[in-house]
Amino acid sequence: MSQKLFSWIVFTIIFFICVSPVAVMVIEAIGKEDILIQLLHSKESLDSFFNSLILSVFVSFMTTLIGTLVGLILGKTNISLKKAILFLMLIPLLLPPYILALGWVDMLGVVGFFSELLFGFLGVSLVLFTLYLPIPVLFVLFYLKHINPHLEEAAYIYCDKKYVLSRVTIPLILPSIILSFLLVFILSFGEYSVANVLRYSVFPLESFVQFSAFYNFDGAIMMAMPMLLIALFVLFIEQFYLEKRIFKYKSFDYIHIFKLENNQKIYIVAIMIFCAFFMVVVPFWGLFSKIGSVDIFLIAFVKCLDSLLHSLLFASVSATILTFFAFIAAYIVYSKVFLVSKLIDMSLIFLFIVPSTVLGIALILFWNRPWIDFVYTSVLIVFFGYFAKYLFLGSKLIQHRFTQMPYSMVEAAMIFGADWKKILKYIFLPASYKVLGVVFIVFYIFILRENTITMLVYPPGYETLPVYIVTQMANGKEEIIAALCIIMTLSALIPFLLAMMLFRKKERA
Amino acid sequence: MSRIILICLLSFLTLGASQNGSVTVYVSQDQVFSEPILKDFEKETGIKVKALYDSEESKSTGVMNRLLAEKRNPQADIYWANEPIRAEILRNRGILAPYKSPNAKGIDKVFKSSDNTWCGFSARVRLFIVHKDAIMKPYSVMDYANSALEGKGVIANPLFGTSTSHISALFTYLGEKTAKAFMKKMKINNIAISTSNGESADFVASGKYDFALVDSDDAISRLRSGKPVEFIYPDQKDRQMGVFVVPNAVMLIKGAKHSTNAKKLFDYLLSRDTEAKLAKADCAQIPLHKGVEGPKELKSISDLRVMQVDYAQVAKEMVKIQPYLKDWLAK
Amino acid sequence: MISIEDVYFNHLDESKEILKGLNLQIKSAQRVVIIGASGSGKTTILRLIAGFIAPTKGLIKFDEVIIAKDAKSYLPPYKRGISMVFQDLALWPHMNVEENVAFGLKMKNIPKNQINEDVKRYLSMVDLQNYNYKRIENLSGGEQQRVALARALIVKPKIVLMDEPLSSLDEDLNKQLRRKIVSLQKKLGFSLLYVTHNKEEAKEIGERIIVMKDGVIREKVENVRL
Ligand SMILES: Nc1ncnc2c1ncn2[C@@H]1O[C@H](COP(=O)(O)OP(=O)(O)O)[C@@H](O)[C@H]1O
Ligand SMILES: [Mg+2]
Repeated sequence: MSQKLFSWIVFTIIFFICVSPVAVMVIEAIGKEDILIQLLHSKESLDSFFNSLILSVFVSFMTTLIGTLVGLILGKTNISLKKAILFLMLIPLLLPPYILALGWVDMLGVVGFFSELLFGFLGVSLVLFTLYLPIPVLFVLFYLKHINPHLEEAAYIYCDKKYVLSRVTIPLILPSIILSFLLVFILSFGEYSVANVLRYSVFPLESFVQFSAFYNFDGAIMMAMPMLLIALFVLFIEQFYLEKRIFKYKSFDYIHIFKLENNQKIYIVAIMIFCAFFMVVVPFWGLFSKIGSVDIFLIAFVKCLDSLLHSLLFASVSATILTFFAFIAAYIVYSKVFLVSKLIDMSLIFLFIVPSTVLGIALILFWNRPWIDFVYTSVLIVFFGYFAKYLFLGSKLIQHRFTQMPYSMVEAAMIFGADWKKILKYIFLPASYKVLGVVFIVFYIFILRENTITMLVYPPGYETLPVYIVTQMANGKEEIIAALCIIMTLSALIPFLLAMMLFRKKERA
Repeated sequence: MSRIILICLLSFLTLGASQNGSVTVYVSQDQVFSEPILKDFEKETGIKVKALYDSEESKSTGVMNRLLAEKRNPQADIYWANEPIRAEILRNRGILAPYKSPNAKGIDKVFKSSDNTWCGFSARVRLFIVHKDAIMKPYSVMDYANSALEGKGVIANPLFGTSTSHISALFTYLGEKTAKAFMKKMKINNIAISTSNGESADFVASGKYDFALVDSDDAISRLRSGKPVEFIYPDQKDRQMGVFVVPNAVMLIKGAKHSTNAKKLFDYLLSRDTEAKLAKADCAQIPLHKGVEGPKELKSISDLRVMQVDYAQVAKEMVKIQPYLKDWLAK
Repeated sequence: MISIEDVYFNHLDESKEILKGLNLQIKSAQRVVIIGASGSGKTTILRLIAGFIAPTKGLIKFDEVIIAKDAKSYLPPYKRGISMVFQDLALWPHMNVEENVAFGLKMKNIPKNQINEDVKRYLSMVDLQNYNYKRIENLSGGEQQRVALARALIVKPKIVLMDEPLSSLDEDLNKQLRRKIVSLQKKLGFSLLYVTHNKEEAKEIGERIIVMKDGVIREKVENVRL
């Protein structure tokens, strides 16, 4: 089989499984614009749309601003405890978003001054901020690692460090700043479980209510259209603006460090630890204080055992398959096969930024048909959801690894007559073992925490832990829910920590 | 590598493969209360229950939507709703199949659909939760419009949950004109709006407001946790309208793939045993069968004056008054 | 005017000594070439003089003033009156040719029209008239080299450090540009410290040639050809 044919087959699979449901949904919506107009005329929808817009602009602005600052401090200065601070900040991203919100509710209660602040714009912003802060931080750290230190030193010959930072370092990482702004915008626009817990009216929730409380399918589909438009807009920026501006990544044997005075260092570390503590540890303290006793914890554990096993099974199996596909997709995108590489790249980004609710609804409408019953009635449908949502992440990480390999390795293999399959197997695969491990962990964690798509499409009897917690929130005992949240947290953190230890051991060896 | 992938895919397929001895049920009653009942059914009959639970109180009614989305190819055999209005919506969309359960016999016909598409069981009633220190107490729903109680009451957002059903029932019972006049007076009377019945009950328990119309289970949980509250059943005098009752409802889905097992579960849910269990559980549901022991804090259904409404009518009214209610809220 | 006295250097957390008691003087307006195998510590000397790193032991003097001594640097790079051409050129990809060249002047708060004039003059000096608005990635290797040269010279440095600036060019271009560098040095009169591993280059550029091996100077050659 030629590489071209193979690439087209892969594209067809991705398109058929994931893109076409969304496309079909859009087609079904054509001609029903009047419903959209009607819906947007209703006060709730309009209000919620503006709520969402303001919320996500605010959250993405704040996270990008603070996240860039934190990224620069962690990546560019000589402060201590960097790893600990980064890890603390990362925790929320590993968990279903609503856990943090529940933690705050347990901490502050449902009446009183602080609670009133919590239930509303400020509370939702704080939780989303905490949740998405790691995104700009990680992006900035990643880009900083790939700045040629000579570029900064060349400027240091002419000006002091403040100008080096503002004229050279920050402009060089600007694509990462814009990228994380867009990403956080998209993610916070589509997120509704936090707003749901904190009773704030946001557009995805409202459109979900339209979809549910009034059982209006056309309405729901039309409500998805504005979200799709925003996703397309982001895709457009990514493809036509950013791609040209992302300077080729390269690793250097050192990075330029801005040395700080000792007292400055102490202040900065203290402030960062205090903030991370406030944002992350306090809500978890809320959960812990709710639980009270080990017995409650054990009861909760027994109750959720089934769903925990489902979660672990789904996450590990899906992550395995997804890692395989991500590797294939990354290779095709990297090889720049005419048209199809671009199509795959764009499809994956598109699916990643389409809000989960939209994706979930599209998957049901498309896949629930009598003659292909085996998809919708089995766990396969859940897997399709994960496939659509997260393949992008893995494929990008692997692509990055590929671009770092000298192309001469491939050429050398070609001289000996290796075809693309052999090259894939003997050159790319061995060179990617480590990144494949990382990608597996990333998939595992994102699938483990997923609840929106899962809730929409999971087959009866196969609920996952995040879904189980959400259903328990309806009149379940608070202490049990808190305990479930802690179990969820542990089941995400333990494999993450194990993986980190494993990688570190390997690196040392 | 590819072998691992293959095994993974196969394991996925077999995970969902349907066995013969199973029944699929979608549940809108809170999982905390419904799951034990379904587990008992599993134990007693050996039929595997595959359940899909609703996520949150009233808002994201995912289960209803899946029932509607799956109309072309139904996956559920049974739907256990926590109120009959949803049953009516499904009936109107042609999603239900009739079934006359032998266990439905003892249940009053008010709580059943006339064409046997759904049947009510274990109910909540809509009652007032009142703070102990309240000086003036409400005795009728109409007291929301009583100027002597101005600013003292709170009610859950009438766009959601049982609050909607209750207002719609008032519209069918009183007629549009009287009902709208009442709603207007209520607004003038400075009645507060909360996001849910649970929040209403918390407000009264904390003394922020004197009284609220809530579901009996919300009220009982506050009472049992020692809050200074009491209940008042509204409109109990002769010629008054009586309490609005919100039973659970069970229904069979048209085209169900396991209809024999489905009927067994249908019967099981309507049994006296199930009603007794739901009465004992924290949700404190009132049995509809005569002689089944109910929660000790609540009157039995036969001791109450019950509002006589046609739930089909209420469901229709609910759709009709949506725009009016939105308007009413916005003002 | 620059003197390096008894300098030792090793990187943080590394025991390997890269410079072991180095002594070196560079007079003003002199062209000095350092030649030596890769890894012998040539770049390290340039980075010490530029001020990116400080000697672990020993001292560096500019015009008899101590600017770095025993792990302490008393003058940051931008106050040392030096310029540098990096081995990989280090042209800023987010700026065009003009912005790259003008950067040093802008940072000195020189009036705008003065900057424009200087940029024009120095670009024509390196034969890059009308290249002002080109993007760096669209230039050839030789052109990039000359932009880096213009950027280094426009600030009128007293000393210019060059780290194998021509190593990536082909033979012809290399010859052409090393003549250019010598002629510019003669015209502008800065001191030049030039690092290379190419003997021919060294002979053509250096008035003095210094041979490095294992962190110490092995030979000093006064270039006879001049
Ligand atoms: N950042 C660093 N950390 C540790 N060792 C380094 C670093 N930079 C350079 N070295 C080592 O210092 C030695 C001298 O380097 P360098 O001065 O760059 O040599 P040259 O320019 O002569 O090739 C080399 O052995 C190199 O491996
Ligand atoms: Mg070197």
